[in-house]
Amino acid sequence: MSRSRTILPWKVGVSVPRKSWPVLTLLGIAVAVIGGCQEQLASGAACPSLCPDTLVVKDTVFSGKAAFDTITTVVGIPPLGTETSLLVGDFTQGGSPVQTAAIMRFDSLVRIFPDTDTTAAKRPFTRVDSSALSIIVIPPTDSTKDTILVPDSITFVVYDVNVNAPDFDTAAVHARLNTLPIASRVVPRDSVKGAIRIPLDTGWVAQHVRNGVRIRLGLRIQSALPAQIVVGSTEGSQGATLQYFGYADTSRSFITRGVNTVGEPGTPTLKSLSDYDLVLQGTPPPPPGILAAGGIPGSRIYMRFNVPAVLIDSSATIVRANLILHQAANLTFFPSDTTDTILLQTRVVQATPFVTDIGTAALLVADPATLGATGIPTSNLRPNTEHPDTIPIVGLFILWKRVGPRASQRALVLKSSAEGIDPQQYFFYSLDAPNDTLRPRLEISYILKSGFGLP
Amino acid sequence: MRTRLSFAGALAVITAIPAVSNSAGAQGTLSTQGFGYPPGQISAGAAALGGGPAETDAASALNPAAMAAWGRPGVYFEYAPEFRSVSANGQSDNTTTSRFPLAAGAMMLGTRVTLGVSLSTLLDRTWETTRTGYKQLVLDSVPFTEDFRSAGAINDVKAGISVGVLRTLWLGVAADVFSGDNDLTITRSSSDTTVAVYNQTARMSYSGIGASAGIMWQPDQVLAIGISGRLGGRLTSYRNDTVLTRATAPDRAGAGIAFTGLPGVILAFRADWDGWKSMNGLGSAGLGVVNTWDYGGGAEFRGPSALGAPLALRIGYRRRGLPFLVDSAKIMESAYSGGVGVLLAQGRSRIDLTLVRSVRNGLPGVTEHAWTMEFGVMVRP
Repeated sequence: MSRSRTILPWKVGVSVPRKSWPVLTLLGIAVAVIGGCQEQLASGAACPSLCPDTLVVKDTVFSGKAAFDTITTVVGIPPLGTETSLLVGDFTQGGSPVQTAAIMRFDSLVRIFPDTDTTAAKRPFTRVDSSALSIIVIPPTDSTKDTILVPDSITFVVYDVNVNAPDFDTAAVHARLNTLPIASRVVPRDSVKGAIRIPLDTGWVAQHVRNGVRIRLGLRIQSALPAQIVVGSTEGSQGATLQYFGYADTSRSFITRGVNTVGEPGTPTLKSLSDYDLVLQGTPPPPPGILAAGGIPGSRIYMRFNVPAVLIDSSATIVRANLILHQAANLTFFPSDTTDTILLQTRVVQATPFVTDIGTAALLVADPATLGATGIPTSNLRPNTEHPDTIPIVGLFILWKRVGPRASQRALVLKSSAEGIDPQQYFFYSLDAPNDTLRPRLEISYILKSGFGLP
Repeated sequence: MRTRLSFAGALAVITAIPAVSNSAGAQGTLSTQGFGYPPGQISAGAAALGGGPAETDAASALNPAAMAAWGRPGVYFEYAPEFRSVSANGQSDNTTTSRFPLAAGAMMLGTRVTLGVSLSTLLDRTWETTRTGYKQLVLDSVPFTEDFRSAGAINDVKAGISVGVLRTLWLGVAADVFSGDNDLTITRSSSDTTVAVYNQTARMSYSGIGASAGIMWQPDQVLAIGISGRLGGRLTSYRNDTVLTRATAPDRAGAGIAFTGLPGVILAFRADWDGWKSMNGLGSAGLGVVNTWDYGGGAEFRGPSALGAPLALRIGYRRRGLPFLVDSAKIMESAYSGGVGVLLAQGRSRIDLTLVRSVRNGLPGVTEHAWTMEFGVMVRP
């Protein structure tokens, strides 16, 4: 049995609209208007009284061994033979001389006529002519410097630098550059570009070809005015070549032989030493207590940090890290043209912690921006001034946190943008500086992860 | 027994409504302190009368016995954007927030039994604050902008049954499940390029249970009385699946009366008590929580017929306390409301448009005003 029930509605009584579409249309418009409201949540006028507790930023300053596990100057950058181009110069800058030479090795020569019939008897070259050293001159990246770097005719001077000495004993090679040259060629200023052939004495080359003796050449330049050029290297895929016609009976073959080297018996062959730059006069070593970046040969400042892992790898987040260095004035090689400046670059070391050789680690570097570490500027500093410098490196700490402690050393390198090209060097006081304000230090601001969420 | 809309179907419709708890409000305001702002769990139509008829309103998620007022299977959902202004320290902020504070559905089992389910926002914790300033870092003073945002709510999912035990008396019981998340993000940035952006996120989750019961009594053709309450069970907070705190979900008790003895007029009043203080252990030690009273009432008038249907014209007033203290100060909310109700489909469906003007104060020097548009649709096929 069912009983009738009536529930009191709090609403008005019922009427029967026969056509509800106009009402629905009206309400649809209302919905559209209301639904079109754009949320705008942000407020702050009533802060701090109505706003939640916020983040606590803490500061700490690390200096000495607390900041740096290692901080040192690495001299001789790039290492012998790894140059992507070779500086050949004879000039003065800031009243100090710079002299460099390019060394090119042709340890293996083509001594047999290259027959297409490989079953035929080998026919050694009996005669050679038209021999020459061919080099490629690389134009400066700044084309306006053409006439500054090469202001007059250039005399290319070639020396026989073959010595019986270990590969890295450059002193003996250096001594050979003070002997009589074996060839030279004067090239007008406007022609100092592209491939340049320097004829060699045919008899001298023929003797080496016939007798199975290697050829090692040193290249210098001479000019009435200070000059410097950059020559291609085998690392830059523009290495020099030795060219000659070889004769066997009545057959003739044109030989082009690139730079190459063969290790001394019992020693490994270091291909990179096929050609290299030799600094005859360049940037002197930095004084004691000074870190140096730049110069010819180049130097880099290597810094490995000793910041507690709790700040990098834990829930703390470093929001600012400033490397504070005090630059010492270095007037040596400071150019008279003050617009001609160099830049101080920060590079992040990519070597793993297992690479213990600092020289090697200082080479395995990358531009932080390519690794996603932002906010690390290239500093336009003049080497001749003395002042404190601040280098923001928070991007590196963020990177190190992201990749973890085993992926790379927590180290950076400071280098000159004209390393190996410009003799100027940046000087910075080291940890041995006479007072604290001059010594490198690291200022870190960080936020400890808060257990926020509960009101 | 005729079932026009299956229970599963009604539930599907309700749960398809996006982000029921996606209400908003900026902290940096009086209303969204602590675990957030309580929208009230009442429908747009009831809100227009200051919440007066909520104890006898089918769509409101308070009294399980009132589910009997559905009369036939149906669903209800509500959208309620709020336009808020906070004035303090001679400055003011304007915010616009969106809310979907309530959805409900019901089905009949015969003439005496109604099954219903509702999803309503218990505490809305959606806000964003932005503040700027300078911070001393070692020796430098650097500018910063700190943006702190929270999104989410604790919701009350209520499933219940209403049974008519007498011709004039209905009893209802319901199980309450409290659940929800707060997604919080702090971002601190600086125009100083040496300072990195700091960003931290956290997700707070909540779960809890409760039970509600109520009666609806109609002693006379012109009078209806509703009384209901809720007992809170354990309420737990989690951060990333780790239990953080435990407390008890708030109890509540309320009573309301609706009178239709005057031609074309309905009067309704309600009083409600919420035992928020039981949530004290859910927050951090310094969180101030108080129990609150909520009073409200209003009148509905039969308006002119428009488009073949009489309009319901509503006005109301409501005053209540908010559960979370600000600097030990209790925050009060007063709200004037008005609205229009339109019946559709021979009374089977209803659309309510309500406008609420709220003033919240209690902390010297800070005043908060809000316009809330509540748009409710009830469909009973």
